[in-house]
Amino acid sequence: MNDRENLISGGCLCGAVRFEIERRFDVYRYCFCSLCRRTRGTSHAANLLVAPDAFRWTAGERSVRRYDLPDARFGNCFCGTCGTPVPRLTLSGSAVIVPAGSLDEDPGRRPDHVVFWDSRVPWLPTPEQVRKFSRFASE
Amino acid sequence: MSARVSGRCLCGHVSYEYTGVVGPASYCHCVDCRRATGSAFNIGVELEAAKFAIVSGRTKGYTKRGDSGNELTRHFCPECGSPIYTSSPAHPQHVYVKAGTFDDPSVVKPAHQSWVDSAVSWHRIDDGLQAFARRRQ
Repeated sequence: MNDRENLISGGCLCGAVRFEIERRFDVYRYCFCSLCRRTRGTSHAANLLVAPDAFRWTAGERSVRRYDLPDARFGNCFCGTCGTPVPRLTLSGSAVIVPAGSLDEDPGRRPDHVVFWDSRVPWLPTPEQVRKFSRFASE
Repeated sequence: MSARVSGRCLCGHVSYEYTGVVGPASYCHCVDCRRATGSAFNIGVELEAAKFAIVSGRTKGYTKRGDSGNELTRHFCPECGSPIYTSSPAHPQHVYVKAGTFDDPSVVKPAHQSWVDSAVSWHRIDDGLQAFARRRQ
């Protein structure tokens, strides 16, 4: 496998913001919390968690806007031109949260668990058989 | 049946109100909706444009021609990026509000899914929701 085959690219809808991740990620999960619902506009988020050294911007980093909720461990990064969600480094710096829908290709595996299952909406399409946690994955 | 509904973005800069018939919720798997939501599909709820009002803040719009050939403007909060609604000159009487923005999620009534041919392998909807391979007929 050469280096390029080990990478997955992604970007926003207008194309201003582009990034790459290495094809190694520990977590691929759905989040049904009410905050993700607002930032995605849909029933839930589908996110990959990538190590910071396995992620890099390839274009338009200056177009990325960030919002962090006061007093909460939550925020959103998006393209300032088209509003599309783009990857966000967690406040702790431990991981980059990558919206799966922003990838150019299938990441090659499926989300393996759900967090904040107790916050799900009634109009949720049946997800695959995945483990479901009431809040965080450790609970 | 007419209903009074409200919604807002994550940071609270943009909020809206609506009193009228809450139309069907459409699940869209097209490539643009996938990217615009960062998720597998978008869920848009059809509301009457004339009765839909942004009551605080201002949205920013991004316009692009979709796979249907229609121009779509996606309106989002410029402060926190939350998507709020989509409009199109092809359907000027309606706005399609993002299901995740409603203060009361119970107003969302799933009706159909479109562009299923473009759905990702990791999240197909197989629970009987009426499906269209491309645009809704």
